[in-house]
Amino acid sequence: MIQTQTIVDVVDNSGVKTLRCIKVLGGFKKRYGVFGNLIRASIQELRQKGNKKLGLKKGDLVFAVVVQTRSQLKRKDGQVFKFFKNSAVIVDKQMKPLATRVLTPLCNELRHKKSIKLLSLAPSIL
Amino acid sequence: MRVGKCYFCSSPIYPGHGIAFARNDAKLFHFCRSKCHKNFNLKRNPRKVRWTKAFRKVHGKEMTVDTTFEMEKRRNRPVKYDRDLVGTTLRAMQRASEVQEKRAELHYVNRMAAHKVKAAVRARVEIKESVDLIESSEAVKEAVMVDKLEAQKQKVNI
Repeated sequence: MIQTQTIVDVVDNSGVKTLRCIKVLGGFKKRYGVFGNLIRASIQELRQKGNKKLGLKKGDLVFAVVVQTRSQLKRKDGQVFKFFKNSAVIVDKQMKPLATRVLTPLCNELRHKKSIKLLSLAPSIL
Repeated sequence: MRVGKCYFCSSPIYPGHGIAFARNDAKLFHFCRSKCHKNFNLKRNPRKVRWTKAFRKVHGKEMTVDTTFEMEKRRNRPVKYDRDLVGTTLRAMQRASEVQEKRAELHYVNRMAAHKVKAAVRARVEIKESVDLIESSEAVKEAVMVDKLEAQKQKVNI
């Protein structure tokens, strides 16, 4: 469950380490962001070797897709599973990833038309 | 429908039960209940926790090497459907489980046989160590008997 002020890790090679969620998008008065939700976030911390091409700076506002959450995910077949951290991937408004690589396995919930590109970058799919 | 296996205690997980944890390298750890999940979070090794199947297998409490386990192995090779094959497989499964049960029983009997010898040795040692207790009780018994006899004699004399 990602909400406003939640700090999420970034799991791509955009050169950003952490983000702070400032709004969960998609829906009226939407409280919590789950897998596949788009969030608006500000950049908190950068990695030492940043991605110079993208030129992201601390304090910049970006869109991101939630890809892992600590709170559990329930599927319709009764499967329940969770990850050990909250993380997201930086994208643009059309859900296209800014970076070129995704570092962690992604879950099947992202398999919809907009974010299929993300899945193709992931090392494996759960 | 697929019945999973608990990572911690190796018990079956039926659909809708338990929880899974996804590690960063995409390995899924399935747990049958919160007890197992919590123990995993405590970083306990299932081989060292006494109530798990892994512990029992490591410490020789259960049968581990047996041909009947070959039936349970997961095969990732798809098999073409054949009605006769299904029938024979079902019968073989039943038979294999019967054999496995019997062998497990035998394993238990063998394990307990060694246990009996150990228990006998322990009992013998205990008797040797505390034999004075038995002797003193015998002396007390004798004294009581003598008293009773004397009482009877007095009754007769009166």
